[in-house]
Amino acid sequence: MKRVLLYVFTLTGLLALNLACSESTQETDASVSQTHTAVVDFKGEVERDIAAFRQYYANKFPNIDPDAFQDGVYAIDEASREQWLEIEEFPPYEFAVDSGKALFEMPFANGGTYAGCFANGGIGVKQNYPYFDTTANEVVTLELTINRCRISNGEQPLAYKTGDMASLAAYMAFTSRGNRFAVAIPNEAAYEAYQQGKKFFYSKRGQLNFACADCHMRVSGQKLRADILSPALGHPTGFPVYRAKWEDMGTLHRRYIGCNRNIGAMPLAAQSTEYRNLEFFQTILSNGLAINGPSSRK
Amino acid sequence: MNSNALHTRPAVSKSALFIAVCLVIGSASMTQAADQSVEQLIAEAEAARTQAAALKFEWTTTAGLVNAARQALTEDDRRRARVLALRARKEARAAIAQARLSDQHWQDYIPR
Repeated sequence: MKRVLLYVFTLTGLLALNLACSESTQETDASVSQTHTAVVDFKGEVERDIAAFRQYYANKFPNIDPDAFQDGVYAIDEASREQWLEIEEFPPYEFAVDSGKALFEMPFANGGTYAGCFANGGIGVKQNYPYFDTTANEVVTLELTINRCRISNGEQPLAYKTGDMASLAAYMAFTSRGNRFAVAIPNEAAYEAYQQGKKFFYSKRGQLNFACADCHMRVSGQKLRADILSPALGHPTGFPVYRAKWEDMGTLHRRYIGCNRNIGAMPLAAQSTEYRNLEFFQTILSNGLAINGPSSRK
Repeated sequence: MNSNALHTRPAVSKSALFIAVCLVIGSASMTQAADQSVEQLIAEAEAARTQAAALKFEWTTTAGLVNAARQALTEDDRRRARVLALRARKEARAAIAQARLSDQHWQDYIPR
């Protein structure tokens, strides 16, 4: 009898242990599953980033229409806006648009054209740039595509910061005016590029120990000598721009280089992986805003 | 008393001469060590600058300081070369520390 009781107790104990282990395994599986879900839920992460970013500016500038951020600093300062609108009556980038159109329509020596390198013949496509190339696993900007188009047609690449490149980009932006940025994150590799751009944006660098976010989030709207710091929301919509300081046209990466130099950080090369990832991140945060480039800035 | 005084004078003179010789030798060897360390300092500054550049966190003025230190050394202005090299090394090391700190804490800098 004692032996029977002993067997019963032993079996009951083993059964209880087995159940506990099973529950534990299920919990572990669930947590692994949750972790896995968190890793692959990059679209949700990006949506949360966008919402938080917009909310930050909504709190900081409660009287500004969210769509108005496409105008950069001219959305938040009335006096600057008035001056800007007057400049826009005779826009200083007009020559660049004309020159860019002529360059765009001129066939290469081999008979190929820029139009042949882009969807929709390159007209009204800027809202999809930069995009993530899932084959090459890299961010591809409009300017990079222009140069790759030239190289594939046997032409020399253009310099990335100004000149003909800025003119071509100005024309392509002009044909895209009013289209809203719709840059996608197709896979986890793209999300990693986005994260790298995000990391760059929030990392402090240079002698001043400033991050992009310090000037263009924390103290956006405040004065830096005679200038007002622009909000980062909407940064990519107006580029390329004619900048009074440059007395010339310049691409977004030219501006990145200037910003980095201003804070005492050695600039990276235009179209470097880091700057392309930064542009990818910034453009995704500005998704939904309308392109109004080319534009003019102080 | 006078003979005692006469006795001590040569001893004092010998001590003074010994100290003077020691000072000259010591000074010469210190100058040599300082010269070596200036070159070493420049090398260390350049190595740190290269590391900061590889991390993409180099500051704009560091390369100029290293070059200015090299120039001062070629002009035999060792004191200036040393000061410039020290400044360059300090900057480059600060940039490396900044890169590491940003790598670990960039998410803490996101404004909420």
